Amino acid sequence: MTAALAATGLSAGYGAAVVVRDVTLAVAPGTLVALVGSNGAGKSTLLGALAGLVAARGAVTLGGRPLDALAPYERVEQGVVLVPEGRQVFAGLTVEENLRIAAFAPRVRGHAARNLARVFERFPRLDERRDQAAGTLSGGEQQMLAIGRALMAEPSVLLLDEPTLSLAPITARAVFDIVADLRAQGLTILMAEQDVHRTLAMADHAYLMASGTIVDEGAGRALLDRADIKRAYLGL
Amino acid sequence: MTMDLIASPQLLFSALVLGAGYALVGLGLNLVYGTMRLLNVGHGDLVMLGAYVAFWCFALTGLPPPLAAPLAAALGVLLAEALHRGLLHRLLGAGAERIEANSLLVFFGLSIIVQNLAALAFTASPRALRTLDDVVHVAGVAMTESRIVILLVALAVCGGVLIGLRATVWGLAIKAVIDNGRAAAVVGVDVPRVRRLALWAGFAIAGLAGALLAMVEQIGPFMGFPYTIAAFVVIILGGLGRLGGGVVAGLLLGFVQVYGVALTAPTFSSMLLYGTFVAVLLLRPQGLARAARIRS
Repeated sequence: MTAALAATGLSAGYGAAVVVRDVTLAVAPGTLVALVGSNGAGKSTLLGALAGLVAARGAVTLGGRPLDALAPYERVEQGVVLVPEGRQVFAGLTVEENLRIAAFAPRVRGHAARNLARVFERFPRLDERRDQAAGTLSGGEQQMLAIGRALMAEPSVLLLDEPTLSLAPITARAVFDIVADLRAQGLTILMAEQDVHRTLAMADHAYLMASGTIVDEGAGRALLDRADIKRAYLGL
Repeated sequence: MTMDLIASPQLLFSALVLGAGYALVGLGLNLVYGTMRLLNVGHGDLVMLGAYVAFWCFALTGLPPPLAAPLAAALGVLLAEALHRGLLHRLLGAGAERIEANSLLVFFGLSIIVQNLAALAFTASPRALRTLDDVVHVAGVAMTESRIVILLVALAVCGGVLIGLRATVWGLAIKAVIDNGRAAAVVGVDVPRVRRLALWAGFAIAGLAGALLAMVEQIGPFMGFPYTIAAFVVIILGGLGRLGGGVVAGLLLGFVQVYGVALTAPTFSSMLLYGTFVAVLLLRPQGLARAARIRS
């Protein structure tokens, strides 16, 4: 089966600093794939490279079609949509404006009203706060907004970068529930996340990263059961 | 006596006209700075070029300045595109801090070149237009047609731009790029294209403002500098990148200058403008409006 998203020999970094080296990975359609690793392992850089935000060498394909030469907005047009680390909502814009601007891609521009209604149906809290400046939302609400914003672009592959970063435990659980729900609806997801236990428990497949390279991979549950993984990532 | 002066509708009208002009000029600079972080210290020179377009159109063909204003705006777009292709796309490759510093120097140099080229082409002698100077009396206020046109067109353009920013996808994209350029790219906004569009709009608005102001100002190669200062006061007072705040700040600056002169003397006009600039930088560099409280 052709992978929904695949990278081959991908290296990426900032200026002369190469952060991700020779990474090869594949995300099968309709699966949740996790990127797990300690801080500085290169997870965010890898997601940024896949989204076209970080300079990279190597091949990236979506359903077999090359994305390498495409700018970030062109990758969104193709269906690769990133929910960035730290949410990065437009603080001075209202919740509704944040969502409407995410339907900028020509492929989805005509569906903006329908998608907005769907996002508000999924996240009633955002509907209640639709005229509020996004910068005044709580961290959890901002994360919902960031995910809702990505859904406005009708992603074929959703890249989630640390979606529970800096969130209270109860809010983090709610975000994992959202991710599980999206996964259950058949959305293809590649997620970098610090909560290794919960992430591996729900992932169909996972890649372990260290020092910018992939050092191991396997089914999420299988990795979770391994003693070396427990020691290295869960402190057990 | 002072209270009579302050309550004078004539003074109010003058303040509105001057403020609307400042708001328009400031709006152009705000679009360029907000989306591209370019410190265009030659912004007033675009006003000067627009004024010359209006002057020569009127002198050579009799075309009134309001009808020459679209031509001045078109000249602004052409200059923006030429500048983008020739210089700015290289400048934009630098980091954010270097863009501001480099653009300041680049535009400072360009400003001197443009002013001197204008002096060579048109001489340094000031020129003036006499057109639309019939006086209309409304509620005891004497208004020349030219000032009415400036007020209406400036408010219409500012209002149109602000509505367009809220109601259209390209307007929202400009707001998104002003707010967070990287996040705009993440959600699929064609950031380079939006920046180019904002540059076109900013230069076009400055040119259009120049064509309108040519009806009430002396036209000369060095007339732009006060407008550059006014535009910077407007965008700092209104909040950098806050386009609606800038329009309000422009009107406010017009009131400060007109009422300040009325309460002192006409010789204080420039001092009030530059004094406001210094005062804003010292007392309220973050602008009048409080930024929304950000929880990260």
